Parts: sequence; C-alpha cells; structure tokens
Amino acid sequence: MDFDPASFMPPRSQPTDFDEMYRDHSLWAARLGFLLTGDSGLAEELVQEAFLGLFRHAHRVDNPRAYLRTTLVHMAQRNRRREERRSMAHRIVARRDLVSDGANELVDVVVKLPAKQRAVIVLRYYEGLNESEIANSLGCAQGTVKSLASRAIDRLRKEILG
Amino acid sequence: MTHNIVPPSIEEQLRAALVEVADFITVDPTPAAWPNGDFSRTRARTGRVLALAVVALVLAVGVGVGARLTTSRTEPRLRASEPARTSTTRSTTTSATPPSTKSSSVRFVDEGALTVPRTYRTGAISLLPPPSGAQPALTALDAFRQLTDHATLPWKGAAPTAHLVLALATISDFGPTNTNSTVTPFIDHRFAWVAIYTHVPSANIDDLGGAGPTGGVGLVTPASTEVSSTAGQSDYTFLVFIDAQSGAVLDSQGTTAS
Repeated sequence: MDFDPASFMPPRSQPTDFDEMYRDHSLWAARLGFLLTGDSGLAEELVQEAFLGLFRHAHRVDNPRAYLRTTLVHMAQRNRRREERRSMAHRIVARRDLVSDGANELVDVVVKLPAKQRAVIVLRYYEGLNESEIANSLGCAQGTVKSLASRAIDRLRKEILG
Repeated sequence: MTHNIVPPSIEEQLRAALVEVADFITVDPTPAAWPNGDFSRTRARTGRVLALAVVALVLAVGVGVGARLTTSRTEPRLRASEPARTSTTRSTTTSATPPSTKSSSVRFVDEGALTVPRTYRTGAISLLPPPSGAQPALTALDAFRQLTDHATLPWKGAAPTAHLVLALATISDFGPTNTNSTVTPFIDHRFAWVAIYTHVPSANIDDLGGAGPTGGVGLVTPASTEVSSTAGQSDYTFLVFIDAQSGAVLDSQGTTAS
C-alpha cells in the first residue's frame, strides 16, 4: 500500500497557530527564562526546548503560557548548560548595562539563590502568582512554597540590607 | 515637623528590580555573527571520528541493502512507522534511490543535527542547533525523498549533492507583509531538515520559480537575494526546508552568500 503523506501530516492550521503562540509568548518566555537562570545562553536553550514541547503537545494544551511557565521552571531546576554550547552567541540579549545598580545587585542575589527558592521569588514577584499557583507550577505543597519564600526573603534581606 | 520616609520593603524592591531587568531583555531576531567552532568542541569532535566511521560503514551497508530492496518493490515512499534515526550518523554519504523519476543518480549527505549555528544571506536565513533530544519524525532519507518528490528544484543538469542537516530554521525576510510593513516569516524556528546545496554553478541553475509549495500564500515579500541564471555569479547556495515532523516541503531559498 502506498504511503499517503496527508495522513502523516498535522492539520494545516497547526503551524500557523504555533507561530502565533511563538510570537505571543517568546519575549515573555525569554525574560522568564533569564530571570530563572541568570544566563542568557541557558535561557535560550530552555526556551527552545519549552516551545518544542509546546509544539508537540499543542493539541492538548489549553493554556500555552502556563505550560511554558511550568516547563521553564522545571527545566531551570534540573538543567545545566551544555559546556559545548557555552561559546555560542546568544539571541536572548540582556542589556544589564542599562539597568540601575540597585536592581542589578538585587537580581544578582536572586540568581544565586537555590533553584527552588529562585523560582518561588521570580514567580511571586515577577509573574505575580499566588502561593497556590506557584505550588502548581513547582509541583509541591503550598506550605513548601511558603517555607521557600520565607527562606529566600531572609537571605535576600541579609545580603542586601546587611 | 519632620517626615519619616519609609524605605520600600524588600518585596517591593524585588518586584521593581525583576521588572526593570526583564524590561531590558530582548530577543535578537538576526544574530550578526555566530562563531564557527570552538576549541572544546573540536576536541570532542576528534574523539567521535572513530565512532562515526563505524556508524558510516554500517549505514552504507544498510542503505545499500535497502536501496536494492526499494528498487525490487513497487511499494516506495515513506514509511511512517519507521523510527527516525538519531543524529549521531552525520557525515555519512548515502546514495539514495528515491522513487522519483526526476533523477536517477541523486545523492545526499546526512549531516545529522546541526551543532553550530549557521546564517545565510547576511543573517536573514538562520539555522540553529535543535534542542537536545529533539527527534524528527522523518529520517534524512525520508526527508530527501520528500524533497525529490515535492520540491521545485532549479537544476538544468544533474542534481548536485544535498547536505541534509536537522535544525531550527528561520527565514526572517520572506513571508507575508503586514500592514505596518513588517514581515511575518513563513518559517520561524521551525524544526526542519534543511537540504543545503553549496557551490552550485550558475550554469546548472535554470530558474527558482517561486518559493516552493508554500509560495504565493498572501502578499509575499521577496527574499533579498534571489537566485537566477543571469546573476553572473559563479556559484550559489540553495536551501530547501522540509518539516521534520510532517514531511511537508516548506520552502526553497537561494543565496549567493554561503
């Protein structure tokens, strides 16, 4: 029996939908990825992987942004950048030379927090999520989120305020 | 009377700092120059040469057997159930015998997943390494068959050798023009097999004849450099994009800059 390429192809609308999703969410994802990792190269890899996952599962993803957020948070916790890609030029450009010293200093401390604490801080204060939503994104209990946030704030306070 | 100025809380400072840093993060659509390699990768590559040679030998034998089987059957075409080969078999020269009647001696080189970004046409066409673990639904051979069956190819004479790489492909200067004069690319970070023909002599190019199967959709901004037989250039680079998941031939582009 001859192979019918049409039966093998996704619906015609899928690439267009995905392109729209990419346009709608790529800058936001790049920013979240950077804040979660503090590394534009790693953020770029994670964002690419997150969008690839979204492409594969687009047919059963109701909320692309929530999917991307959760994927980025999880990948940022377990991924380390591949050494072989370290010299790659980056498409995600962080112009931190244009940022105030105070903000740079604070974000530097955030980036040095343990991954879960960092994720809680970014999701709470950049994404504006509540404890329940953060718990869903991280896949942990609300109590854990509270504890992580408390420890992170204590540490930030010590680092910044002395 | 004195006023006590209450400093912002650590939470307020955090919120402001994160937003301020994020506001200065952008995504550069056209990276100016990508490094063509680095020392650590060169060392790693050297270590893989022997393994690749073994894989190449096994593949050459396998494809030879497969080619014989293909010519002996009337059932050609893609096999959707065939698992995609991993990207470790790069640099394997394969003599393919696709069912197309367009050419009986076409050849391609499977270079596997791209490891170093490439740009063409002064950055308007960019190929990025696909994410680690990304698996195409099509093998290079499948993609090559789609190419020979469905793409509009401009060769006057014998088809040159295609080099197939797996990449995230973007063509930023070609696509429907929006009302504000910006261009929405047809292909934007698409996971694709890209067939690259390099150093194609102008004498072997007839006419591109548009942008392949997706050409003509909406109002199209033409590519900045079109290949034509009257361009007076000695050689060209010609790229054909095949969706790595669906097998659809997405586009074909030519450039005088490699």
